[in-house]
Order: sequence, then C-alpha cells, then structure tokens
Amino acid sequence: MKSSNLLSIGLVGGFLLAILFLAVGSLATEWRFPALLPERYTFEHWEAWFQKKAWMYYLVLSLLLSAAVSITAVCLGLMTASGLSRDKRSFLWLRLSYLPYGLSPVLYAYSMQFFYHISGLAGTWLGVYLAQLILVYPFAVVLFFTYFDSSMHHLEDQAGSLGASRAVVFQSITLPILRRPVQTILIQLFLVSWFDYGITSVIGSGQLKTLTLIVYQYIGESNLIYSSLASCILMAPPMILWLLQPSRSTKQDIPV
Amino acid sequence: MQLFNFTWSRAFFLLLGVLPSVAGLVYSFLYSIGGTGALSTGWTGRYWLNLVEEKAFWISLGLSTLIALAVSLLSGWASIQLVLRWKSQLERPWSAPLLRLPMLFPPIVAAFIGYQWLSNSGLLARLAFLFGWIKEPEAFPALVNSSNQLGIFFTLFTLQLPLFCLFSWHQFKEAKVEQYLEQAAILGASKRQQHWTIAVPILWSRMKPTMLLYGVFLFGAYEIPLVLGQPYPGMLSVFLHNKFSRFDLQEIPVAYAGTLVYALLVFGVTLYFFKTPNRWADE
Repeated sequence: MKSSNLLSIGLVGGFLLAILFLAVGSLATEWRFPALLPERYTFEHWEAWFQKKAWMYYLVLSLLLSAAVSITAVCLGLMTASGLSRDKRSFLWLRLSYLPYGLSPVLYAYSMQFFYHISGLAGTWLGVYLAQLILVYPFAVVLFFTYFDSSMHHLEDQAGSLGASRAVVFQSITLPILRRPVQTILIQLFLVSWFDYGITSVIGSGQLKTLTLIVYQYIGESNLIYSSLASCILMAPPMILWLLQPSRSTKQDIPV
Repeated sequence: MQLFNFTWSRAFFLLLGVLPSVAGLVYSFLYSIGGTGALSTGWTGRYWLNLVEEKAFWISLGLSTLIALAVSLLSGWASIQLVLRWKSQLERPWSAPLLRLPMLFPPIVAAFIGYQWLSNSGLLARLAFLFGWIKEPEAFPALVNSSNQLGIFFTLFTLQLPLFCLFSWHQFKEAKVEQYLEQAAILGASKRQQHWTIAVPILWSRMKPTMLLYGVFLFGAYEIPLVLGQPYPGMLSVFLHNKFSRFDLQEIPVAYAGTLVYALLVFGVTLYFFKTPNRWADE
C-alpha cells in the first residue's frame, strides 16, 4: 500500500513538477549543468515575447485557427452524426470515421499534400484549416455518434409527430440534451488542433507558424528559456480549461 | 425527425470524412508505382522493391511495433495493478482531474520536457551529480537520441499510465468488479486469489480494445521520437518524414510506398481485432 501511495505521489507530482519546470525555465537567466536551479530569475523574456509583434500575431492566429477548426467540426459532426445514426448500417459509418486515424497526422498530411499544392492551398492558413478540419471532423462524428442512440431518436420522433419542425426539434430537444457533450467535444477538438504539429508543418510548407511550430523551432535551437516560455503559453489554454472544470467526467474519457 | 436527413449526412460524410483519406491513399499508391510524381517515367515496381530491400525501413517498423506494444501493454498492465491498489483514493473527487493531467501536455512539450530531464545534462543527470553518482555529464547513461530508445519509452509510458488508470478505473466500475470480489471473499477466496483470478483477468480483457487503440496511436507517434529518438532509422513516422523531406526525389516514391505499408498494417490489425467482439473474450 505504501509503495503504491509513493507511486501515485510520484506520478501526479511528476506532472506538476514538469509544469513548474517550464515556469522556472522561462524565468531563468542562465541554467547550466550542474546547477539544479537557475542562478537568477527575470521577467525580461516574457516582456520581450509579448512585445514582439510577430509572436503575438502567431499566437492570435493559432487561437483563431483552433477555434475555427473546432467550431466548424462540432457543427458539421453534430449534423452528420444526427443523420448517419439513423441508418441501420450505422456501425459501418462509424468504422469509416476511424479512417484518418490509420495514419499518423504527419503521414496523413504527406499523403494529401499534392492536392493542397495543385489547389494553391499549401502554405496558406485556409489550407491548414481545411487539413485540420478533415482530420478532426470524423473524430467529431465518432464522438457525437454515441449520443444519438435510440432514446434520443425516440424523443426527436415524438416531438416531430407532435408537429415540431426539424429546426424546432433540434433547438429545443437535441441541443439542450447535448449541451454538455457539445462543450466537451468542442474543447477536445480545439486541443487536437491547438496541439497539432505534423499537419501544420507539412501543409503549411514552412511558411506558416503556429505556437507548436514555434516551440519546435526553439527546441531545435536548443534555446531552453524560450522553449519553456513558448511551452507555457502553449499549455495555458488546456490548463485554464483544466482548472475551470476540475471534476468533470464525461463519456469521452473512454475511447472504446 | 433529425436535423440532417440521412442522404445529406451520408453525402457530406463521404465527401469530407472519407474521400480525402481515400484520395490520399490512392495518390500515395500511384506515386509509389511511378504513375505520378516529379520524376515519373512510367509504371514500375522498383520503388516497392527498394523499400523491401531497405534494412532501415524494417528496423523502423520493428522499432515502432516494439515501442507501441511495450508502452501500451505495460502501461495497461500497470494501470490495472494501480487501480486495484488505489481503489479508495480513486473514489475521491480530485483523483480523476489529477489523472487527466497528461492531457494538458502537447506531444511537442512532452518531448521537450523528456529531453530536459533525461539527457546527460538534464535534470536527472544534475541530481545524479548532486548525489555524487556521476562526475561529468558523459557519465550519465544515454537515454535520449540513443539506440536504446529508452527516452521515447519513458516519456510515452509516463504520459500513458495516468490515462490508462482512468480507463481501468472506469472499467472497474462498469464491470462491477467490486461485487465479484465481495462474492469471492464470501466464498472463501484469499486476497491473492481475488486479485489474480478475478479482478486482473476481467480488467485485462476489458482494457484490451483500449490498449489496441492507443497502441495504434503510439505506433504513429511523431513529435516525441522526433526530439528524443535517433535521427536514423528512428520510429516509422520520423523515418518516413525524413524520406519525404530529403533532397533526393527518388526517395519520395519509396516514402509513399512506406506510408501505404504503414496504413495497410494499421487497418489490417484494427479490422482483425474489431471485426468480432468475441475476439476480446477469449480469455
């Protein structure tokens, strides 16, 4: 019992320590081997980062990109799952939704790169938006599928037989029931897009920078301070969401 | 009375959800047999032959399979053992959010932290120096960018274990394992028997689909092996990415052939295991 307690503390503590490590790293002036902690701390790097217009521009664009991808995918996924779940062979559609996950995102991007080049979308924000949407949309369908079960169909049909139009059924039956799942799935898809590196680096053709690519650039330059700083910013949205909804447990935690 | 009728949903799904993947795979196939591409001179099987003859490809494939299996199975097994020991703690409201902590880490950040902690001038090496176990950074065992791939394994395992604990805990509740254990205790089963002959087999068989699904994700891991692995041959995604981005254009059709092998392998394994639900109930 004691050893498992130690392990639990170690496991959870390790992740909290990792977050602390990033914060300390971003405030360090110098942090060379064998020092366990930096010699001095400064806010200079943070100030410099936020004063640099180009970085702020990429930060805002990264946020907008992920917001656009997740909102579109949720809307489309909701509508598609609503229709497909009515089919007797719905399991087939569900299985097809897993198709993009057969490849890792970076290889998926390479397999489709040609189409982005000929359409002139490679290296553009629209191209990256579309590529990310194509990746997360089937995921949205899979996630919403579980909620369109027979009881949901029954409720929708009952409202329909009482004379409600499609829009009214959706607005007053489907959406209120799915309010929490919609929020959760929106957050999940936002994070998939926000964390993406492979698709943006391939379809963006090195011409676009999102925050993940900036982190990788700093890692490549062996710049500990700015890698930590950009990592802190990259982790800020999921961290805020985590702190805001600490005890939420949803169906989506369970993949199968 | 759904918002979108079935015909529209199907058409839309096929267009946005299925067509791009299929088009990508068809294009990859055409490229790999010389049907298209910058240096295409007509249909040929030599790129496939090059791939099959390339030793590094098989090493990459084996390495990815090994790491995916090791991380998935070991973290699955460890999560079951931990959940059975942590039962009382897991009931507490803060345990689930804490186990979700790894989800906050983008793979690229996890890779960065893995590097900063495990490299020979990293945090662990500094601690080892502080305790006098090593005299210089080079004396610290090579965990990152080394052929033993331990840095990749540790990082993926650490990210996976808490999530698997969450899933195992869900299965523990869903399968009502506690009730089985109580019944077994009434019938005289020892703690050891309850653990190994009842709880572990139930959870293991229920965790298998999750382990497979995550095994597939781990097989395609990219950012973590990119930062923590060896540049060559590396895990499969990194190996193929390197081929795609090399200046030698002759490598690109080979990379497309490799991508197809990867896709077929994943589809084959997934289809085989998900075809009949009974396949999971063997044990």
